[in-house]
Amino acid sequence: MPTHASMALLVCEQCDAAHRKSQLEHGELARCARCGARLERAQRLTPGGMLAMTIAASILFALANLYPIVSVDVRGAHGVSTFWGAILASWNAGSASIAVLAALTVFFAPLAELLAAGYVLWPLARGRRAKHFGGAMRLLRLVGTWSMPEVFLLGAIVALVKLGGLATVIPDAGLWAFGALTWLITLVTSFDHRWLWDIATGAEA
Amino acid sequence: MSAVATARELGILPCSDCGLLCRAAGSSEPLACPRCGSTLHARRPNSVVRTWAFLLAAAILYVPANVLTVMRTDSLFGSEDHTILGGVVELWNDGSWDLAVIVFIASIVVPILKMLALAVLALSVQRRSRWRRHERARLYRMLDAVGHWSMLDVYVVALLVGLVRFGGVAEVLPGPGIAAFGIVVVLTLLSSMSLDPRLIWDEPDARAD
Repeated sequence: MPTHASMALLVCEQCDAAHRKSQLEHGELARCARCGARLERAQRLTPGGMLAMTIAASILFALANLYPIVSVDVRGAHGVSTFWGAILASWNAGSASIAVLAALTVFFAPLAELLAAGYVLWPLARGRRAKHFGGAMRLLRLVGTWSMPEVFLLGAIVALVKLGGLATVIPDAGLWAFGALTWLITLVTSFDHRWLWDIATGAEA
Repeated sequence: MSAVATARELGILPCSDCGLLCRAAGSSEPLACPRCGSTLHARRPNSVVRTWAFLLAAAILYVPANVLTVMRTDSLFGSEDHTILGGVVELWNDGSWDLAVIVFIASIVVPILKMLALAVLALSVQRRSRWRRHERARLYRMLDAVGHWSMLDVYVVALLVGLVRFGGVAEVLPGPGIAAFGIVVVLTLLSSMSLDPRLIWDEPDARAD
């Protein structure tokens, strides 16, 4: 089965309408003429720039998981909790399902995203294509839906406010790291997969 | 042919993984994308049936998610059971009306509207409706964008359980409701992922349109 000759077309993923591809200027956005969905956005970053973002996000990810999110004081009793401390406590308290859900969506999915993005981008920044490029790209798409650090950040703020009436609560380094991570990981993973595929097609294996 | 040509009319199968445009051969066998190897489908397989299945499961579990306790607080002043809606009321009464509104939207408005919207979309696609396609397309994109914010309450409970561990003084324990709630959120996400938005546009326009 031959590949369709005309790479000059762009098909809307939301409604199947075919459009003639046009060259987008920096920061421009193309919308579907029929359903209004986003067709294509001109990429702001090169693969090298995205790799730098991925590395920065990975450092923040480590900090967010290692440092306490918050410290709490109740009548002299003092406690700190990391993300993993909270997960383990939920597990031990008999709610395995929320421990697993939170670990998957706030730890494992973002971790897989960062690893896969780094694996794909490291060679691509040098004009080469990773050996398992296709598999890593599929993994990126698969876990992207389940990666929710931004929701966790809001959840942490709500939890802090709820505790505020009961105890003295001080946000800690882990929380700030989560905040910055949320912003960076959104930048890293919001790229157009088709764009990266097109670059990789031109690159040697 | 309508004013806009679709990939299907042009005999093109776009790969859903890598975006490569492939020529749809006449064979009935599923084709693999020559670039990334994914199976090519003109539309997501069994889209409407899968959407309904996940949606029904979510709707059933939504009842225990709201009726059962999501969290139990034990302190010197006694113990208290909390539900999802109760958590919003407490935030409001404590003076955090802004967060109360956010939690109300993420935990109550979004799941209900999402389930209703999925039902409307699945039903209209099933009936090959031409009704308000633009609005329905926009509705689907909104579902995609906001659906995962409902996971908020799962994180709030997990964190409170982890943070409040002062043996004897105060303790927070998770209740069965939060597990049901988390699964509802996952099921609604699976449901909207199963629904193929291209089905909204597949019925050709009426000639008078």
